[in-house]
Amino acid sequence: MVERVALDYTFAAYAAVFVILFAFVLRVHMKTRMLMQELKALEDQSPKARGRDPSP
Amino acid sequence: MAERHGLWTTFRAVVAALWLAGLYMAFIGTPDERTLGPSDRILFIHLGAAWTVAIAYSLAALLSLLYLLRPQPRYDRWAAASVEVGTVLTTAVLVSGSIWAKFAWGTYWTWDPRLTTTAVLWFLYLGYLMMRSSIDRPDQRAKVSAIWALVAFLDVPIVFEAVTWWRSIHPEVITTQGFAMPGSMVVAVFVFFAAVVGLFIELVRLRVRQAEIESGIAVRKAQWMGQHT
Repeated sequence: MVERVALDYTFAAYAAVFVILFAFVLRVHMKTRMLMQELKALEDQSPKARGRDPSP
Repeated sequence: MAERHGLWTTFRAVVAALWLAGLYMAFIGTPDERTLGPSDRILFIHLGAAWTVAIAYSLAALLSLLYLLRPQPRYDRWAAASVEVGTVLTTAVLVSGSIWAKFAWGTYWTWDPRLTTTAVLWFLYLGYLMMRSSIDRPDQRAKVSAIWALVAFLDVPIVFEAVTWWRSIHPEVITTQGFAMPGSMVVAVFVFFAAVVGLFIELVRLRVRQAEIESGIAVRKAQWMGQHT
């Protein structure tokens, strides 16, 4: 019985750590996606992308 | 470029293999502890994360010192990323430790010197991250961050020595006679440690890359605004 309870605590600890790490990895992944979108939007707005030569 | 990409893919595969090996050793390949039974298996991930936290904050302190001596944005970026991932791992250390404490001591939290100094460490670096998000000027932010990281680092050796300096109920894994556990458990500890360090390296690298892209976007935006005003 005590062993079963100890195992429950062990699984809970590993699960908690994995949730923390996964949440951070997910946050990093979402930020990468957001940055890529922002970068693409900037490239689309650039004069080169719109077929204009910015030089005077 | 493709060669470097291949190298990182191999690195990621090795880290994933280390995590799987660590989990196998933690749950199957090691014996139960005599008094606390399977709950002592928490120690593998707890120790791996705790030692990596020490590396993370030491690295941040070193890079912060380098920044103060020779102000270059890359030192600041690496230090900030190191602190960020280190703080996530400190959270993991506190949570896994608390769950173990509930089983072993009957309470999630007690004001033991090791626990208290670790909580102080967590708040110090959480403060560092909050401070960074409140300063807009990059050079000013980097300078204040570098000083903050150096001051906060003073708590790292205190956390590690807390069990010997003060009366503590926190178990000591490394004693003057070596590891206080069987050989198979020592191997599992080091496998988990290597796995967490691998994850730390990968996450820091990703966060630094993001910071570089962010900085590039800011420069482009400034140039674009300059052309249109």
